Amino acid sequence: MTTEGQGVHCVDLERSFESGGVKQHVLKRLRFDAEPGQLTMLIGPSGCGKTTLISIIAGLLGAQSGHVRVLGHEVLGMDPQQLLQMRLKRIGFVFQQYNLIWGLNAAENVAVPLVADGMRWPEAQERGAAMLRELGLGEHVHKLPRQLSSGQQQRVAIARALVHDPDLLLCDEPTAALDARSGHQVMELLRSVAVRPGRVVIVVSHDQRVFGFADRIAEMDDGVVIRVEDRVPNPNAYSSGHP
Amino acid sequence: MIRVALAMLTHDKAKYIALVAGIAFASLLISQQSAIFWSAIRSSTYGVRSASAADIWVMKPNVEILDLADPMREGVVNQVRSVEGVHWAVPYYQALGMVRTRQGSFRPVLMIGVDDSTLIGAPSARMVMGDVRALDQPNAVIFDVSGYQQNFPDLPVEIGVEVEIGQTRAVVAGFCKAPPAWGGQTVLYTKRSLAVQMSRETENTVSFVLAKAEDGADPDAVAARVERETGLKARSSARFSSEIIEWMLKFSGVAEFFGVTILMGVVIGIAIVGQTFYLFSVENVKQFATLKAIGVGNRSVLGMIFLQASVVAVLGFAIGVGVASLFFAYFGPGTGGLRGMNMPFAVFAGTGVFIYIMVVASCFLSIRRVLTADPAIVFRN
Repeated sequence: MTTEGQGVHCVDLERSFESGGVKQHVLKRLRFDAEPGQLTMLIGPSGCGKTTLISIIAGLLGAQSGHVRVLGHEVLGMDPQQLLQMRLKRIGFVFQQYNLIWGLNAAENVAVPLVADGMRWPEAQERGAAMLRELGLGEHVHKLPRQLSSGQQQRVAIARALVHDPDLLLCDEPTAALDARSGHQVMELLRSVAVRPGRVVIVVSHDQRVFGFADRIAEMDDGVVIRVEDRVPNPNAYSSGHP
Repeated sequence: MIRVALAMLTHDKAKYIALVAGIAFASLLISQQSAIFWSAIRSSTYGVRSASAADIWVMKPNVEILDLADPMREGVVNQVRSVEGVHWAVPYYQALGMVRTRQGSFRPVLMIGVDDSTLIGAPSARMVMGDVRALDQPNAVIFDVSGYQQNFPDLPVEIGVEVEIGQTRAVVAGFCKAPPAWGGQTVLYTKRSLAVQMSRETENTVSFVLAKAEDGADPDAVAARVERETGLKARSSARFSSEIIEWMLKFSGVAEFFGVTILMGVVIGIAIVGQTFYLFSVENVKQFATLKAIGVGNRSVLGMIFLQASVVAVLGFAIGVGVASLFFAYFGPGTGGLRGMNMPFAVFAGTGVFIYIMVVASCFLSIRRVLTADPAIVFRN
């Protein structure tokens, strides 16, 4: 089922970079769809264009041609201020290296998107702490990032991505820097908390151990999506490392 | 986003301290050297400022500064008095003298001989012990207290002590505060007649004629008339002061000497502050990029960087200028070569403005890097 207005839809997307006078086509008339209520996993070898694609979807990067419809809005050519507002209010990000602010404690880190949107610190911090408690991190609310394990830091980052209840969650290799157990916990968290009706969740990964968490797998190679598989999530199916 | 900016600034304590210390060091270097320079230049006009009752100085045409006077005959005083617009005129004498210490060695002093009858030119406002009227007593002298302590460490700082100057017995009648002469000599005040006697001068006993313009008359205009009618050089006090400073800057070498030091302070300051703050901002590019990806606008990012710059600038400046002030508070009242030196408000404010401009300038360089940073770098390792 396609809910055209609320998902992410890329049509004939082209993006190239020029380096040293050589033009490199990273995305080649790419088509990609991600639907609300599903966890869509974007997989493929390094350099195939996965990161470029989610950067364009997030409005952080432009494209030479094509259409990118995100949550009912055409992103390419959108006013920068509108893009900023859309990211602030409707998109959540989870990064491979967590990208937490080192000087802020866990609750304050989670509160950052709310504060950036104008909420006052005490209220935002309380919301951040509540989000952490919801994610099972209640005892780490006042800890600084350096006092947390890698897995805990990534869970704080997920809390930050979800605190403003976004309609689109973009996760870039969320388990790449984690051991198998922590990676599994992070994906379980994403599966159980992030995926809900009306929210699009896109996870970029080439960690085969977590493929089983996906509702849809889109495989990319050399700038195009070469395979799309809709499936019933089965977290244990790929834990052995076989797709 | 104030808390986020401050958290980013202070989370790495070592770097934060290095940043503030760098700015503090630059502030200290610039403010201290500028203040020493300012004090040294200002001390060269001390005599003019201390004879505040007079507003015209008359001297031989070849004289350019106070310390290089060419004495004249006494008759010039009446010549000046006779010029229209001159309310009064008195002689002023200065010469180098030799003070014999208790150990028998000699120390040079700059003797300033003020008019015997009016005592115009005496340091009445800067007396720390005694009164200038005590100069009326026989063989009375008033010493700069710091110079006295330096030359006579064995003698008590008290009125009535006897010293030998130019084979003449002198009695200390009081103490004042006066910066050392340009050549470093201690300054002492006495009546002109005694100063002449102690310097063993017999003919040319007037170094300058101090005059006062009549009420309502422009001192510069009266000085010009004195020049025309006497053939001597005459300057209003204000103009004489500025010409002395100009001469000092041009011929004394002080401008080059301190200029190089101050310039070094500025260059080192720019290097330390600029590089440290630039590196700090560049190291935080990824965190700023994360904030931009989340949806924080460039204006907020700019505000955060300016806040960080302002905090380190104000803290570093306060510490640096504070240490410089302590330096002058300790050495200024002492008896060493830095006696009488202090930090004027202009140096304090000027250093503050300069440090802030320096930090903001390096801030601009780093801001460019942050603002042009591709937010998509947050997706890269």
